[in-house]
Amino acid sequence: MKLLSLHDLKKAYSSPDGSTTPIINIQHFEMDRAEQIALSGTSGSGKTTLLNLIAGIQRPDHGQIRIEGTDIASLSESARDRFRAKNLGYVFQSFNLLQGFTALENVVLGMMFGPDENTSQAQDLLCNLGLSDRLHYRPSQLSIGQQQRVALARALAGSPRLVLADEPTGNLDSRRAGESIDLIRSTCQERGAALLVVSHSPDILDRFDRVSDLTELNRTESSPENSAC
Amino acid sequence: MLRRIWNAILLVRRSLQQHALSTSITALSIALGTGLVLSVFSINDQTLRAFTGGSAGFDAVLGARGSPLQLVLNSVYHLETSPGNIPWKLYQQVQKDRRVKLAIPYAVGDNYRGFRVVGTNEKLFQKFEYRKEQRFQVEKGGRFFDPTLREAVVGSLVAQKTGLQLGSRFQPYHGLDFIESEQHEEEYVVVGILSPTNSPSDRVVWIPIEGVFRMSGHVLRGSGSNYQARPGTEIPDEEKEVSAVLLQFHSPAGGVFFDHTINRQGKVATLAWPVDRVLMEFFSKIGWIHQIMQMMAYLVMVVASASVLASLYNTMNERRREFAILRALGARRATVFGIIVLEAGTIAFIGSLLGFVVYGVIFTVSAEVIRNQTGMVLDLFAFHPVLVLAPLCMILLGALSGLLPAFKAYSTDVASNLIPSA
Repeated sequence: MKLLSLHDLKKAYSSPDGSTTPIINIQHFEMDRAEQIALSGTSGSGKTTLLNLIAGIQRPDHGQIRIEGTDIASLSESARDRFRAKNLGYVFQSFNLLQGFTALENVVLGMMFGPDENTSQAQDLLCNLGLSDRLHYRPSQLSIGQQQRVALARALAGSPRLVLADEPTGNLDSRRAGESIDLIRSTCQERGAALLVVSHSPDILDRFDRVSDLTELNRTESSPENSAC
Repeated sequence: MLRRIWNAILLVRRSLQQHALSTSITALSIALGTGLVLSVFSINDQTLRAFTGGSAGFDAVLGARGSPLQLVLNSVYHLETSPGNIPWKLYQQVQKDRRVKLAIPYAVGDNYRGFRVVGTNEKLFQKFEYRKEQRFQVEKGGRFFDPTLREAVVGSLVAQKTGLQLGSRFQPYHGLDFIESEQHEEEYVVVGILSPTNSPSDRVVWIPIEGVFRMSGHVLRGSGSNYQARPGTEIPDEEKEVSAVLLQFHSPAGGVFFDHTINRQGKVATLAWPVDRVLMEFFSKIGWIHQIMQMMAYLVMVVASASVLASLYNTMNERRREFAILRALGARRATVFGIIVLEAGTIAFIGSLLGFVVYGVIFTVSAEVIRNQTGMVLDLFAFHPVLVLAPLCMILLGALSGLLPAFKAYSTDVASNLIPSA
């Protein structure tokens, strides 16, 4: 069984004038367990929307999103929330750390809504990512790189099967972006989590064995009439 | 479940810390509301019980024709002006009646630095129980006055406020209000300080009633014409008069009898009986004041809970991203909703706890004023159901106020709010 399989996935946004703009139209996409894939795409190609659909944050207009055999598109909102807390990790471009919480608490938050909560595991994660002396720092007291590592630790805290990363290095310079993506990849690998990264940076995409172009994926898999839109 | 509650508490705690200023201001407004409600109910209840709960120790007061309330306030609580005097003969007549268990004459008209000087006889100390089985006691080294000498027994509050001690000499002032130029010539010596009774008697300087009759400038009109006592000469009984006679009856039937003979048939005097009912009627008449105070206190509570709503609602916009992040991490809508309601309830809880401090301050200040004015002592720690109900209601109101902001948090769209605003 594939870890992730998308089938006939469609999502469109309504415009203020009442018309709909298709943003995702993927006929088929699959991902194996522990696999690492980079999705490329131009700005506005629907990269973030796709990750939100896979994470269950948004619901598709049509199609299936199967993760370990569970079609999350058919789940209720609260069931999707539970599923996400248990099976997925998410690294956002802007990290989305809660400012009032320390690094350690932010990581614990990643486990809080899942089945297990283990502060010492959260602490180990941060230590492994070189933040042992920053456990009780607030995000505003950390550098951008450190914030990103906290965000990665939070995404991995619940031992997810799949980590979604949305332009995770978008805020870093190219040298540090490379180091950072290597860290994300190796950490996911160590923990047996699959990684789906969206990025438009060639430096990042070059580091992955499998790269899919979302624009291409949408175009080749789309029906002619939808492509015309 | 326990873990979820603990996590929610952690999230609420952090949020309150992040918005410490608005949390503090809101909690303070709740504290004010709660404190006011606690004070209004508790002080009113204790005051009412102090005045009408039978602590006066007398069944009835006999005095000049007029208002029974004025009579009771003047004689029992040493407030108000005297409605006039009644002949000594009437006192003697009542005293001898078989229905009367105890009759104690009071003669008022002087003060010492604002505290009343009351002339009475030794029966007050020997037989009168100001509360069940509690008689006046003097502090160590003191004694009750000799009715034939210029001696005084001083209430505990008087001693505390004026500094009068055993052996102190003082000259009373004429009238019930302290006017320095109105000092009498007669000098009295303090022979006893009463142990605190937490009753109006603590505010009184007791002297022999003969002393009042013989005080310089005092005129007796017991016979209808003016009579001034002369030193060394006995005062005829028909010339004497008293301000009031405080009565205890063997049974309520005595009260009914005197009520009939004095109030309905007589024209000379008034019998205020029963004392508790007279005061109860008075409190019923001024009950609207308490109702207004209650309404104001309730209003402050409602405004305080509205401040919880306003305070939380105002932060909802800036916190939309926070909720979106929590949702993205797997928090359900209901969890976010619950966190906000819990936050509102927590602010109300903190405010309610602080409300006890406000209550303590208001109560202590009020109790001091009441003690100085009436001698009645209120107990800060006396239980009243409002001490439990008001904080609970406040917490409930606070939590209810959190519903609207909670619904706003509940409705937060995750995808659009995960992106930082510019």
